[in-house]
Amino acid sequence: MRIVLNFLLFQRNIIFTALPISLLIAALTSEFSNFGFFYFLTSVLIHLSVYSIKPPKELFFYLNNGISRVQLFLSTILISVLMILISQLFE
Amino acid sequence: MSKLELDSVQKTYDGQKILNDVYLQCSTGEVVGLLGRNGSGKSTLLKIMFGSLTADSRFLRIDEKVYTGSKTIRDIKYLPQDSFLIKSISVKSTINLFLSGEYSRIVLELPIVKPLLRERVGHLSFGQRRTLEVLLLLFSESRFLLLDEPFNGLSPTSREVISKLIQERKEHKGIIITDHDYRNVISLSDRIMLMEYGNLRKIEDLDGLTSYGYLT
Repeated sequence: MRIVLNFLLFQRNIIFTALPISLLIAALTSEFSNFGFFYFLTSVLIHLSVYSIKPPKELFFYLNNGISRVQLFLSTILISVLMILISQLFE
Repeated sequence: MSKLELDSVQKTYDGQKILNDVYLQCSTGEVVGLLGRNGSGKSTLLKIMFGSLTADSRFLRIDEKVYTGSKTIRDIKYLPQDSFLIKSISVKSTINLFLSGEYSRIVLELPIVKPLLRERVGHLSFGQRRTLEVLLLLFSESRFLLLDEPFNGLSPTSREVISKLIQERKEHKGIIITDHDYRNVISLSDRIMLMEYGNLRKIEDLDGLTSYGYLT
């Protein structure tokens, strides 16, 4: 449970940024069924730009908790896939 | 007793050798002090041990288990020089997210932590954050701790508290510690190693530090 909460804490910042951006893109293009795809692109881009080039020190919080960089990236992919599935409901 | 062994560590930056075939070992129940001038490669070595930095070569073994590549290892925790805590959450949440049940309860009850539980980590002073970070690592389940400047920014009282806790907790852990406050490092350590020009040298006494030019 503790590890799941750590993943959710990590994803919180990505979701709060990627969600409004992808919703905005979906609204501007009137493509709500593609919202999940927009979220996928946005979240992966945010993840890579923030945590790959010059990672913030907070990354050590997760690494010290036994969560690897690969697992953090996979969590971003997992949430994106969930968003894609949710966006299919708009079709 | 568990033993951590790091061997054949080499690291090159821009063609310059930072670490030259370094060997270091640490057992549970001991504190190893790592001294060296600024830029001598102490932090680089700790990051390589932890797995957050890739080395040109690294051999790491804990007891019989060999770790290859640069993956982080659950049995090693690392205190970086700068605060790694999430500033937007409370002290209580931080402790609960970082430590498992039994240890979490112990830290939540500590007199230096109790008054701060409702505070957001971002509202703590640097010294309070540092104290919390060291406590989280000392009460974690990992057998080995790498502490990079744990006393940085701490008040004399907090230094005393942390030094005492390190002495108490070392029974269960192997601790490698580096800090500019060399007196504190020396008083806490069972063994002293000096990093010089990418090599590690064992230091027997203060004269050794003088002869290698670390002290004048």
